[in-house]
Amino acid sequence: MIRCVVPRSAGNALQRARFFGSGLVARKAVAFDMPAMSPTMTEGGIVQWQVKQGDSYAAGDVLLEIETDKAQIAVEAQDDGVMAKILVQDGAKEIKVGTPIAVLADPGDDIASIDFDSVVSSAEPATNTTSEQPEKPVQPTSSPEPEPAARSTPVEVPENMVLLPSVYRLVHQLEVDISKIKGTGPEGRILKGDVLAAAGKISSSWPAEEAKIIEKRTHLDLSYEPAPKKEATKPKELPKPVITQTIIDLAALLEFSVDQGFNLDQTISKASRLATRDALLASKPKPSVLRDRIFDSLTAPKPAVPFDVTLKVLKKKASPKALQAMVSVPPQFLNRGQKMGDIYLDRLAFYLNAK
Amino acid sequence: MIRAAKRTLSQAYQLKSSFKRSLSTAIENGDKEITLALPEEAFELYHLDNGPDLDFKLTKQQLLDMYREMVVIRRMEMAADALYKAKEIRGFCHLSTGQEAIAVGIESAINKEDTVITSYRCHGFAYMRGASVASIIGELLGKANGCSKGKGGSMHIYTPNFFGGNGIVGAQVPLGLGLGFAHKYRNEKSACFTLYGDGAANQGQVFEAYNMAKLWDVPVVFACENNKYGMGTAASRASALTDYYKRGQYIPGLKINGMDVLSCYMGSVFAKNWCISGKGPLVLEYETYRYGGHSMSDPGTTYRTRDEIKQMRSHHDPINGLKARLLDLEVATEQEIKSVDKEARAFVESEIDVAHKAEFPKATPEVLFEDVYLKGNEIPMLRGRIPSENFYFK
Repeated sequence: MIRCVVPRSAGNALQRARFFGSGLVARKAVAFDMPAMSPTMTEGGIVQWQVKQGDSYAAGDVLLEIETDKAQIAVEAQDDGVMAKILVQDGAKEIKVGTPIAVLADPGDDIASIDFDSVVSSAEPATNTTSEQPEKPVQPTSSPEPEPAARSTPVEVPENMVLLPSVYRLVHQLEVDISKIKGTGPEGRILKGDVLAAAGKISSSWPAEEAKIIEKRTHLDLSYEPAPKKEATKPKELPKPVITQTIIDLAALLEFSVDQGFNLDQTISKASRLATRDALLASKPKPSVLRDRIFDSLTAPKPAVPFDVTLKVLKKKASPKALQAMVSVPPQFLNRGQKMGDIYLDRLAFYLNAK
Repeated sequence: MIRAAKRTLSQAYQLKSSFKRSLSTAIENGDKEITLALPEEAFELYHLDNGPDLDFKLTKQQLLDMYREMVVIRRMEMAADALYKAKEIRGFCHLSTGQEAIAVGIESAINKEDTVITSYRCHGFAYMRGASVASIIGELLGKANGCSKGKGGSMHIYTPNFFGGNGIVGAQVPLGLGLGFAHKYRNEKSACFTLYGDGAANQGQVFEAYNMAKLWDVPVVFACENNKYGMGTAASRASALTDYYKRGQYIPGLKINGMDVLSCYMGSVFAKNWCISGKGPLVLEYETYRYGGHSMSDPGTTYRTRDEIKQMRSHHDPINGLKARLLDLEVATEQEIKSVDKEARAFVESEIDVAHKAEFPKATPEVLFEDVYLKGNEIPMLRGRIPSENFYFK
């Protein structure tokens, strides 16, 4: 419903509204202006009118196709109506937004009785005022120039130079005359370092040196250069297994007599098995109080390399049987190998005595 | 249920009449009760035993008021469209042409104590919540008489118990949950209607809000306005499940024909009663359609056909639909409806005139920085772009 909102028609709305109660007054035809189909559109051309003069149309119908610098767009009618007169014909180009291009009337209006000149002329001044109106209050009352009272020496800022906020602040803080500074930034932009150098806070050669480094690092060197050959390093030697060795005097150790029917080997192997288990258990880290079997099975490390034990039983002719135990701890247990070996031997003696 | 609905309605109208008397004129036989019936297809239920009542009564005055409000919103949106194309409105502008039934249906079902929060397609809701057309158009024009003193624009329109107009897609949903929680916390018999589009329905925060709402049984109505397109993408191309009323999963849902104001009204009455009876949240889907593009820079015809829009306009328009029903039931004559049309049109025109004549806000730092903080709670200083623009609250 374009006609009700164009400002000039709205001007008469109050006056008209008084008559609506009696339902006597037919609405005036209104001018249809060149619409801005995008926020950046300032002018456009008419490709083709889709509604002929005198035709009626319904809301949503395409009135005309217009052409902007970007695209060709169809303009739809917002309300039902009649195309009373087309003012600007197909093919016209560079029509400014807001220029009347047609006159629209309500369905049932007598088109013959419309005074087109007055409709269009009443449109002209209104468009002018609306285009100028918004500009007035936009002018800022406070000047963007920094207040001169804030500093003792005035800062001369070259007209085209836009300083970064941080630099701007420094210039004011240090009261530097930036017209004498040569910028080292991109396209000669003045940077914080330049201001600091000009104020004598850092050495005057520093910004130029820094700029060189930055310049060098901003260009990625992709040229191929074979990497220097590394000297072949010896593979790391695996730590040797820890070996704990001891001789247990069975005769002294065993409080029972080695009599017939007693299988020494069996006893020893049983004791050894139990001692191995104990050594493993004792060397394991203490389980948490919050230990959960299911959780542990998900998170616990994989079973380690088995604890390797070698036992040797030495028999001497005259003396009673002596048992020599040699414990070999795999390198994986290295940090606690000695301890495990000791525990093993201790437990072995215990189990052998346990009958 | 009918009695409850009638009570809610009369309350709503009593409250509204205080701020919109200027337009609502007494109608001949306005108190005459009309028996109305909705078809079964008006609603679809999800995890609900009973839906809204299909048979109910409204007075002639109420029906014509609904009709008038829809026409006013339509006229207002058309005005915004033309003003935008005349380059008087700048910036963001999202119009709800075609979706008027939802705003009118919800507002007719709730009262002024209930809260509403919507997406940025908010002009109709702001008007129904009590903002004058002049203040809405004034806001769009950047005038000092605008709802937000001309400093907010289309996306930031607020009135009492209407919490905007939110610029961030979907961000109003958790805010609406908070509003609902406030109702519960204060033991009020009120609910919050949180509206969001089908595009925003895919936002993660919507589901976070669902969870909290159900967990604490917050009286909040999650109302999805499914207008079939999120910007330029058809709902089916963006959503794995386009039944937005089922999206609550553990929250019951109700799908409402959003192109019929009476369905919207009864659905909203049901939703409000559901919430205030302590049953917790409800997810609604108003199935609707927008005739225009997503925003003013979208012609709206690149992702759908003109025939589709035309079909919706001619067969499902909410205003024409109610008009046809009123004529069918012989509630009002063609002449009566026409006079309502004219009245609404003249009303909007005069309001736009007011907006046009209003002043722009003064370009002073005092005006620019006012309302950033609640009066009396300001911090000492607000920073400008450069140090000399810093503003000190006295």
